Amino acid sequence: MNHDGLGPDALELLTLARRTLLDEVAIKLDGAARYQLLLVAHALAVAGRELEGRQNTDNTGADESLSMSINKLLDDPLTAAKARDDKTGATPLKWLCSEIRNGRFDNLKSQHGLLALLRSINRSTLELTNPRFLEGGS
Amino acid sequence: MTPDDAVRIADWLKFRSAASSVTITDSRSLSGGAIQDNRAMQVHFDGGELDGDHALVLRMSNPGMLSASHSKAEEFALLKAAFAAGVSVPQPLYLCEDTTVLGQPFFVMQKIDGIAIGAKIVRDASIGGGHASLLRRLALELVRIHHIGTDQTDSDDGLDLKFLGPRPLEPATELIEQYQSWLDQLAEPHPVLEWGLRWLRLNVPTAPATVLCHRDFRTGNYLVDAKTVTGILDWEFAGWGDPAEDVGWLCCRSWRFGADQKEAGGIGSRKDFVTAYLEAGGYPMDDARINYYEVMANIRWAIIALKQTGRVTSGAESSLELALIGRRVPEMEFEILRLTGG
Repeated sequence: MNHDGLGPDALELLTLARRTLLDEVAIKLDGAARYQLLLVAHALAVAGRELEGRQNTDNTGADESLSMSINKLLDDPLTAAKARDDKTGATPLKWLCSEIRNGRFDNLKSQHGLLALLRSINRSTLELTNPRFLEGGS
Repeated sequence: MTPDDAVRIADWLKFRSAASSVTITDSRSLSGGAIQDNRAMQVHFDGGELDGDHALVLRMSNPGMLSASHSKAEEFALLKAAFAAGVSVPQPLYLCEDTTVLGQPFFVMQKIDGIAIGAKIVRDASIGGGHASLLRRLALELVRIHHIGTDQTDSDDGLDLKFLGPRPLEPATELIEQYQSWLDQLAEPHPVLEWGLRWLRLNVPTAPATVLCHRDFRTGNYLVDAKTVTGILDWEFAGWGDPAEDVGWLCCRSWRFGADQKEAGGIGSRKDFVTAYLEAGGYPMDDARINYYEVMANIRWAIIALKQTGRVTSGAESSLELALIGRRVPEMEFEILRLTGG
């Protein structure tokens, strides 16, 4: 709980601030003011989840894992070499976009791997931005 | 609106309505203005064609206006065409292209009563005479929209829609090109959107006709009172397209406001909406085309959201609402993957 002896850490502060807004302030408001307050509370929730996600994730490791997954998907030596030697600073995701646009995944067989990867990326992002959406809510 | 603005608007309204005097007795900003600025005004006219008291709305663009948005003169022409075709819309009154009045073009229309808040509409099953009745009314409104401009002599009675350009032979392809160019304007790669656009290219359907599509026909963009639909709003994106484009947009999950099982705007089933649309004299519909345009709807909304949130990251705006819109893109991407996943 204590953060360098100064009280709650950043994530805990965000959670506390959000609860205070919802439990003590929102009930006193209506109309546009209430809408604005709920928007602020939502922003705090998103920021909190993203902060927690960063605390729990090794970002360098996640980036490497994503690059490896994309390279595996682009598994012909020529494309992989081009991606590796690219001097324009294009990221693996940019290469993936370029290959999608060029028709690399037009046939059903190659789409399986692509869609599995895209779903995995999408799920990870949704878990941070709106986990309720994955449960069927909005 | 500054006091000086109010004086200039009153003077302009006096001139346009041929009134002897015009007084703006009340003025307030209406919500939902991420792209457009709508201002409600209570106005008293002495004499002239609007003699008496009127509730009006002044509409002009916000700085965040999208490149796909029509100019105010074009939107005014569309509103006039819709009004003449019997679509429930606010009566358009006057267009002002003189930028010395407010610094940019605007138009004035009669104010319509009703609510447009999507979450309220989907939660209140009695609104609009009940959701079943509301659904049928919306279908009828859409049929009327899709028949606007079917008579090429429309321009003869002042409904000049030439600015929309020729009707495309393959409307889906034209839209794909447009959205691809929007995507290319974004700095970051978005593989799901790229995949969605590729899927659209591989599955282009044949349109039964090219009609006037509203392009923002959804819950949250119509006004409804206790009995029925009172107004279809926001005509800034209208253009020629496949009639299924509007149905796909209405069915996009984002516009169900949590009532996900009710595909047609959170108020009813897609099947019931299509049945009502066809009974009202609409164009042929099929599930495959509606699915196709639902994918397109999610791509379009995702790119618009990214462009809007980009205005915050670039420092051009500081709106929390716009800042948060970008965080919703993964939801649209989820839908794109679900709908294209086979």
